[in-house]
Amino acid sequence: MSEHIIIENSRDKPITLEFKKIWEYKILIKVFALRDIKVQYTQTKLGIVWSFIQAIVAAVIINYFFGVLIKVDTEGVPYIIFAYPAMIAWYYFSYIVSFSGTSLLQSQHIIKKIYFPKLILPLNKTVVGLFDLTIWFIVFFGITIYYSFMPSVNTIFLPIAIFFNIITGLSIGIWLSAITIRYRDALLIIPFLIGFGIFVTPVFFGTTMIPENYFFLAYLNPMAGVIALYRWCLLGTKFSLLYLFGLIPNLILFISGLFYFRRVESIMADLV
Amino acid sequence: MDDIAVKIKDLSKKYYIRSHDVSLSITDRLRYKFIKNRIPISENNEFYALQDISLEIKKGEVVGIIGKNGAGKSTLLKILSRVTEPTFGRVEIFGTIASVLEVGVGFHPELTGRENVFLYGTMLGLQKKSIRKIFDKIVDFAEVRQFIDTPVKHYSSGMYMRLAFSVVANIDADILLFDEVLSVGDLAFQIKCREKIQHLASKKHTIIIVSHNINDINSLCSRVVFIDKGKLIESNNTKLTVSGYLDSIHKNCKYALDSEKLNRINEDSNFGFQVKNVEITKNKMTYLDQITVNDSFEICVNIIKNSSVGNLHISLNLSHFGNTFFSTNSFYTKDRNIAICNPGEYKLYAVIPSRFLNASHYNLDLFIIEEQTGSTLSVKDAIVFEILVDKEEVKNKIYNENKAFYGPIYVSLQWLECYKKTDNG
Repeated sequence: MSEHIIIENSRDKPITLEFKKIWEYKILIKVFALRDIKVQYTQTKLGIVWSFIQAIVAAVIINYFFGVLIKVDTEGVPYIIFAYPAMIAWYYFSYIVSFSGTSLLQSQHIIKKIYFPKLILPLNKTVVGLFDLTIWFIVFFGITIYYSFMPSVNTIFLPIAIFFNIITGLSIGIWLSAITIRYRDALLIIPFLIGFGIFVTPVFFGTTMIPENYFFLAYLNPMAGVIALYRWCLLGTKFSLLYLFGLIPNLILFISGLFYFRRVESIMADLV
Repeated sequence: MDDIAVKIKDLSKKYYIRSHDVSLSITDRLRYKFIKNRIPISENNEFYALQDISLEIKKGEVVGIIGKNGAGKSTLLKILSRVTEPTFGRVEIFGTIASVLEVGVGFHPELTGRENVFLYGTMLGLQKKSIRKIFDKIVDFAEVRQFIDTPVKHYSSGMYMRLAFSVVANIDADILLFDEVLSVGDLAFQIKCREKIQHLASKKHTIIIVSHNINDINSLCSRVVFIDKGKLIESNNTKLTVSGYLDSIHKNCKYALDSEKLNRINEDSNFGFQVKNVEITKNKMTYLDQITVNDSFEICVNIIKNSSVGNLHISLNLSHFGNTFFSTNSFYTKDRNIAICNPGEYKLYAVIPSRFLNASHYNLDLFIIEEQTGSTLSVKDAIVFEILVDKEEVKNKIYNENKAFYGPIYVSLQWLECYKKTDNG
């Protein structure tokens, strides 16, 4: 092993994203994710069954509340099948935002003592969330069988929807995590963002219910785009290209977040 | 060039002492502005934790870093292990590096020992299969095989530490950094750790240790770096640097108990006696410049006894590098059992013969014990004093200057020689 490491101040150097370094440490993402998943279920009797229970109970409540009590226009599919993909997307999004946003603070003792690319911490949370996501999808496909609903062939593009789901969550999560090391204000934004975000995003209702004049707002909301993408994949509903107005700026937010994160990475151990 | 492991050049680390400017919220600022009229002084003082450190460490060296608290030792290790960046200067590292800045960081209490070994190993940059290869070695070294599949939260703290230390010690990195971690586990494990370090060093691994334990430094390190207030004071042969460090600690080492400490003792105590002074004297005379190994001197305890208290015994405890070297009590002596009975002022002298204590630093603890009740006034480190070499002896090669650090006893043994000429000699 002949390695040559140079340690210098990086302040005046151009910021590089160092994907190579993260790739070297990719195993760490996996190990951290396994740790988080295992820890979630330690000393529980039901273990993973809990995740299924949550997913199913949520489905039953929502179906009753919005599908039976408040009739929502669902573009011709059973309500729960219409709402569930959006719920999955929102659930995953809020998971990524809240856990990657707080990931640096949560691991500050490690940051101060062990060297590794810190970006792994927020990235790892998307993998942990992916585990729950899989369970929710299993429940979803169970529901489609129950209603004898045939998912659209677009389902093969589901990874693209999941990808944008991750990007949307991370674009906010990475920014927040990088800001939290200096200002804890970011912590207070997270519950607000998730709690109120659901009302301005077509999760429980369809875009057809939005008045024409306000439609452009939906297009600007990247999560509306992600949800439309999920519905397009699973249900075969229309996907308007206008959603790209939300998704593309979001991609920019994501990339700028990566750079900002790298910028503050060198001072994290001193500040956090 | 090939045999260099770490090359540090003009390394500086600057911190800002931020008292408030970050933590002050906007409402606090307004409150101070309108109600208190004044924002608390936000001192943006710069502070150099390290300043212009240059150092080269060769492969296979065991380097000890010593210095007082806050001298910058840990900051240096943090930079070397890439946890934080230097402000100026650069470090070049040739080889792989692993560090333990704190034992047990990175372990998760809910996971089993086995899982934690993999978790921690990966954090240190290892691949799964290389951890698997050394797994047995790690477990055996830590002596936790029986509990390896138990969550570490059920471990005793010693087991926990041992496992964590064992991972780092066994991962075969070229350069290992340890910050104050050699004292993990029980005595047996500590000895094992030291042996491991010596073994690693013999295999050309470079080891850098921060420790406050002078004994560790003395016995393990081939070289010692002494840092004070962020500056490199000395980087040299172990014995010399350690002596420089001790000198700096004992700079105000006097041959008497300082008056501040004395006042504190007398204020706190309602023992019915008053300590007037504790000092080192020569022929019962105060104000010594220095003592050499060839001087006989006395430790003098001067106290005033009131009538309200019973008989008193004086006990002295002399320690060398933190280990008790001897203990002596005024009552249990060969000639006379001295106890302080009647009220009045006493001066008790414990006579230390010449050519008994080696040239080194010593700490003296004082105990004043009441005979009947056994209640004790103890003064730790009442005097810290140094005994110097006799320059004549060094010049005449009777005494080796470095010998000072090999123990507290002054010896000049007789050596015998048997000689026989061999044919092929």
